[in-house]
Amino acid sequence: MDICVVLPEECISRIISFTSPRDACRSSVVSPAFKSAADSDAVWEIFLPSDYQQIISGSSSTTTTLVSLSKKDLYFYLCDNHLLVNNGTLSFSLNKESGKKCYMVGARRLSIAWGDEPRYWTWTDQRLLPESRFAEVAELKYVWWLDVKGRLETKTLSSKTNYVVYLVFKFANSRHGFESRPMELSVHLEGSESETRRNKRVVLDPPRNSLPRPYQRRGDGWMEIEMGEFFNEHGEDGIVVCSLFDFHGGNIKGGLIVEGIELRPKI
Amino acid sequence: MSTPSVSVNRVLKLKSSDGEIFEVKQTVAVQSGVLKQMMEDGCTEGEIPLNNVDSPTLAKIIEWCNKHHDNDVEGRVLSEEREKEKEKEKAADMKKWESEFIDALNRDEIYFLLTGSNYMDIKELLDCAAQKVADMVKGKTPEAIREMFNIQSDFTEEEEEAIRKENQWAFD
Repeated sequence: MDICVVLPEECISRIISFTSPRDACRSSVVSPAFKSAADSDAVWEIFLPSDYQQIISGSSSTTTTLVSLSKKDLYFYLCDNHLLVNNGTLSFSLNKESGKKCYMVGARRLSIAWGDEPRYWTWTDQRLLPESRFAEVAELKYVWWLDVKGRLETKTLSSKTNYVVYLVFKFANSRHGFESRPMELSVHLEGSESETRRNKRVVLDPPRNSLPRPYQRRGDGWMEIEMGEFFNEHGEDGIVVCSLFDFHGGNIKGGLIVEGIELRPKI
Repeated sequence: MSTPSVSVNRVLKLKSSDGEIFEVKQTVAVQSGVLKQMMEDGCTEGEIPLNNVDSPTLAKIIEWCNKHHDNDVEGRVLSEEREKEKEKEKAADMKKWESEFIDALNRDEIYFLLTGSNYMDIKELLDCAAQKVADMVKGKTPEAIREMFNIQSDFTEEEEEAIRKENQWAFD
């Protein structure tokens, strides 16, 4: 029996909504009936995060056009673009494979020790650095005491998901203090500090010929380095804290440009 | 779940598309959104014709609903005793029962169960059957899906190529 003859479209949609975005796209090639079901809003509404409407309405990007998109088009728009939310301090997008939420905490929303002291840190306008998605990025002049922290409520993120956290940065033309001394990187849930936590210690800017490089180049003009990962169980009432620090007084550091800290579902 | 018009001992008479009569307790029948609505509206006297559901399918649907009703009743007593551990065990047992129930069906029976539960608006059963079919679809190419479900595609070659292109990401 041809399944499309027996089952009404809503049943086929229901079936496809239990697969994955990739399976749904493949299904649309199967037959006209499958395509109609696989492209339907009923399916893609399930693949979108349950609070997507709230996220979109809180965005400073143009949202009127988004509302008029089909749910499938909206899904891929959110995968291929990022929305600025929370007054432009967070950027939001979707992981294409899973539909899970990705966020980048912009530099302005990080807590940076001495961040308001222009002697130590300056804020560069987006117009001078067009590859920045945020209005401003933080540029380190020099410090002994490097302490950059990002905090995000876990309920913002997708539940039951492994997240990997990245520092998104680049170096200024002149930089120092990162060539030999490792910086500490850590990711933990607030309140779980007492557990034996192993921070990553990474030399951010090792000599040119040393391989592998500690960072990856992203497609957007920035570099990223993995800070750590965590499992977001239910995501209620928790806060994830992501830190980059070096408290060693004898080592002056400068020339680091911070775009933000990104949290992405582990693939 | 119970409403004033639902009583424990009263039964509904459901008539399948092939004319067989099935008696179902009202407390069991509330799992169907359609029957629940009819009970609330007070129009369940006499036989209720279910023109889209044949007798083998209706028998399966009622078996499912009876099992879930029994489990609900027991579950309520247990939760009062705060035996959370046992509750978990019960949930696991139910999952196992559900998967055995679905696995025992052939493909046509699953289709009829899907249409039947969709028609009668029994969400849990619909989702369970849909999940089963979804598991068959996952990871398959369009050609394999067509073959598995005996689907004749009416797309022309050009149309298919265009749709493939639109969804290129999924084929990379």
